[in-house]
Amino acid sequence: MRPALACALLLSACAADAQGEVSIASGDATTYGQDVHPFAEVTCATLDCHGDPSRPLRLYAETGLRLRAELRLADLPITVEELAHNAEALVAIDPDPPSIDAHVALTKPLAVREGGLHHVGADLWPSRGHPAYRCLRAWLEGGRDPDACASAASAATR
Amino acid sequence: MDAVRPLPVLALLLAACLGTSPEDEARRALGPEPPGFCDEGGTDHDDGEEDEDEGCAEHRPGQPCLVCHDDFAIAGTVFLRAGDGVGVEGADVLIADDRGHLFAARTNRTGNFMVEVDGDLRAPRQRERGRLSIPWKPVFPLQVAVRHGELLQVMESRVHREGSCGACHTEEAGAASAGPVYVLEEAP
Repeated sequence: MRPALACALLLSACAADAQGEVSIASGDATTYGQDVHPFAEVTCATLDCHGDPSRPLRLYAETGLRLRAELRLADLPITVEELAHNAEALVAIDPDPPSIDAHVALTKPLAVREGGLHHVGADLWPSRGHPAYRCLRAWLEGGRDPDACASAASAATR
Repeated sequence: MDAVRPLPVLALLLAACLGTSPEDEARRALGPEPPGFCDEGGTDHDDGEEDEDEGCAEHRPGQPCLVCHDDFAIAGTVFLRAGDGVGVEGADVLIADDRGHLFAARTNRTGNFMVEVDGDLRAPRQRERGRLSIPWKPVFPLQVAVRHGELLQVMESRVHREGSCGACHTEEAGAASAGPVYVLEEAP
């Protein structure tokens, strides 16, 4: 192989890696349970949406899909294990996005006119200013936005 | 040896490609018509309208109606108790959609109800045998409650996209289902 061509190939490989390098948190289950799950259970994790285990993003919830049948039969609250699976699923649905704002967990519920992707469950968030967007975005970055998360939970249950 | 004719070969190839759709598979999974619910025929409803193609409104209680009836907006079955094989007549399914439309469908003798959209109407109209016609397409998510006499059960979660109650409310409660829709006891 000619040296110039080999060099070009190596450079392009490096460039591709750098492009996909954004800081996605590892998916902390505790903060997920405190911040994200209160609104996600109501607006995302119902049995006819992401509580359907055949969907690409699968979410467990006390009123939706349970990890095991006995959890429902005993009417037990959501478990740490289920929350951990949800946190992992949210991160894993798009492990290497070009930017945080391009993460599929953010762009699918976002209105298409605001740069969102088509979502069978409709445009849930009219803009990036929606509290649920800000709450999830902060969590995906490994941070927290308690005010946004509280607003998102309150709006979801109204 | 005779030369293979191209048309039959093409037809065979096409048939192999077409296969079975997921919708066909879902219908097949429902199994044969359970006996006892529509033995008197019942292809015509009792409201004086011609609707021979609509089948028997009492059949297959508890099954996901929209698998076959894609003209229904919402449909399902209400049972008095979880273990009842037949649904309860005269229960009201109270529905509020995301636009604030409120409507109620009354179940027929096998507990079935079905909501259809009729743009010519100006207000919901309860018809015979569990059929409710409404003038607008319901906007999801829906909030649902079921009332039978003094009994009232409010669904804990909202319905975001599925029109068939039976798609999630299957015969047995389990990891992916709260069991049938019933009014006398708390859901598991």
